[in-house]
Amino acid sequence: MSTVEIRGVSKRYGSVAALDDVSLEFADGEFFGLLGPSGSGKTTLLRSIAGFVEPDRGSIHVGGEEIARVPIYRRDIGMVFQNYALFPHMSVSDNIAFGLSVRGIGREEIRARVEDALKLVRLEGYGERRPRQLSGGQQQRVALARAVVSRPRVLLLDEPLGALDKNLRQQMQIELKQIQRLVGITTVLVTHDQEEALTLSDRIAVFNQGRVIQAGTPGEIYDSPRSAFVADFMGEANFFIGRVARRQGDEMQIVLDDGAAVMASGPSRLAENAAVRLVVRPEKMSISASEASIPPHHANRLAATVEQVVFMGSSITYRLNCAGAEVSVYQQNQDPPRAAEGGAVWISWRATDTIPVDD
Amino acid sequence: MTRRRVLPGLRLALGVTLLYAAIIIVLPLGALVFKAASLGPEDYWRIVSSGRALASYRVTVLSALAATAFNLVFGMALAWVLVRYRFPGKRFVDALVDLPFALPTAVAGIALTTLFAPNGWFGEPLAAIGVTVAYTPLGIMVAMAFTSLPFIVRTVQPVLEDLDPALEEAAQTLGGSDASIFVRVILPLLAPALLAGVSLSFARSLGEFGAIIFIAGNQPFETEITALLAFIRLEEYDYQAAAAIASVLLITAFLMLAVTNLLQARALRYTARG
Repeated sequence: MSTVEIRGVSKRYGSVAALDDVSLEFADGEFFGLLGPSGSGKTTLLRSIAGFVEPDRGSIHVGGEEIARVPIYRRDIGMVFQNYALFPHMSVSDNIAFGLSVRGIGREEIRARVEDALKLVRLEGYGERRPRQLSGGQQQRVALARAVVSRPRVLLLDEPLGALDKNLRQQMQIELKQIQRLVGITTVLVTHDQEEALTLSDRIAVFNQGRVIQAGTPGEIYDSPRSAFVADFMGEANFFIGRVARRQGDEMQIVLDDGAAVMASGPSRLAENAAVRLVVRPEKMSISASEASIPPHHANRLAATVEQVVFMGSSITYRLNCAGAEVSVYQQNQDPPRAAEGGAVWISWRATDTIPVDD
Repeated sequence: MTRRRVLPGLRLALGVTLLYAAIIIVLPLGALVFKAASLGPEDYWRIVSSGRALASYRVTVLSALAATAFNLVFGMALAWVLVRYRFPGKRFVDALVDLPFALPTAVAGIALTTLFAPNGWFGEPLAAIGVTVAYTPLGIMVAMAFTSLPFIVRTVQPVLEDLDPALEEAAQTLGGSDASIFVRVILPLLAPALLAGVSLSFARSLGEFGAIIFIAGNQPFETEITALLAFIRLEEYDYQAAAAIASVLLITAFLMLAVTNLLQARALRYTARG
């Protein structure tokens, strides 16, 4: 268990910057998610911590110790690979015991610790099986047990749930989080699945083109994205473009390109008359059949036409046309549908749910 | 079951296959066994356990073992280099590996003899340090190693190519040193392929004839291989003795194949993809 400090790490492959001056700090015991599209540098950073990639510049400290010159096998870092990388010729127990036995730990202690690890991932009694006799979820748990059994300082997870189907993935997310809490190892997760990053992480860093675009708690990243990229990458976002018409403290009135006015509330660096791009999350918006039935605390209201109603089970997605722009609104499947396709409706939301972002 | 296939139906395909196998493989081997069996047990035993025959087994088996051991190490290294590294001329080296397959063995034998003869390119410097290759068991070994090298390279290479690099990375993060990863992870995963390569290489070495007779010197009791002894008996019109000696090679090859298949089935049970 240790802190991890990444300072100014860069790595180039030819003319491509895989990592461009990345600095991050992971607290002791923290679950940190690295999120981004493929090729954004998140995996390169993970592999730099593991030791498979040698950064061109910058330093990585684990528990205060600079690890650039420490060989991989002495870094004391556990890793779970995308396709698990279990040793096919060894039993489950031998797989888990590998890290202990190469370190020369005694037979009795290995047996006891392997038993504990199997119990931790709820695979008691599976020790004698071979990896290929297990299901994908079970193999994933063996990989996790193997990575944590030697109590490493840091646990690295490289798309650990990517090979599982959706239901199993959600179940494993909950389990993974519980196990991480239990063992308390500083954990770094690489994923391109924003939902997975939100569910599992204490904090998240969003990567694009080798840079950290934004880092923060899942709530901050989702509710207060600083850029259009982050807003768009983390879930769905409705974009509006306009100009700041009036500013009073934290209150801002923005006039959209089509002339409609929108209120935004919250700290901002924007000056009056500045061009601005706004983000509103689909689930923050409401649909009302008439102007009179708009919730009173919704300061923003726009007329729209329903183009498509998509039934999703727990929710309903409305695709609307709002002055030429496409807008999505999610409604809980609680009330009867509020509009039919082709109908004229009002969409509304609170001023605090209008998020100004950089381009 | 009426699905159309590219090749004609089971009956025709099976018929052709079995007929071919019978004419090309079973018939000659059957004739050989039949010929040897016509000897009667005492005569058979006398021929196959004569001093000269025993000496030829010893020379053949020991040379084949040495050649196979050499190829095991060198062939695995060659496969490793061809799979894991990129270097100029790699495709050329890769193609070169098949040369012993394609080259007429007599050509290989003559070439090796020329190289290793006391006044040859290799022979002369080796003679200076007191090593004689041509016309000694060492020459037999060199010829066997040359002709059987592709077997190990070509069986190990595809398995090595399919080996997930993440396995080695996982072992590294778990604290494994290079040596322990090689011994505990890579070698066991290559074992079935190595076993197949070794047994093919050994079988080929036992039966090699053309490449060896030029370089071996062919002194009875010293550098005479079993295949040559059978050939000599044949030239003396002693067909039964030739068949008897050949049957020893045949039985050895069969036993080896059986043992290898058993071991492979065991090794593959867990490593094969499900």
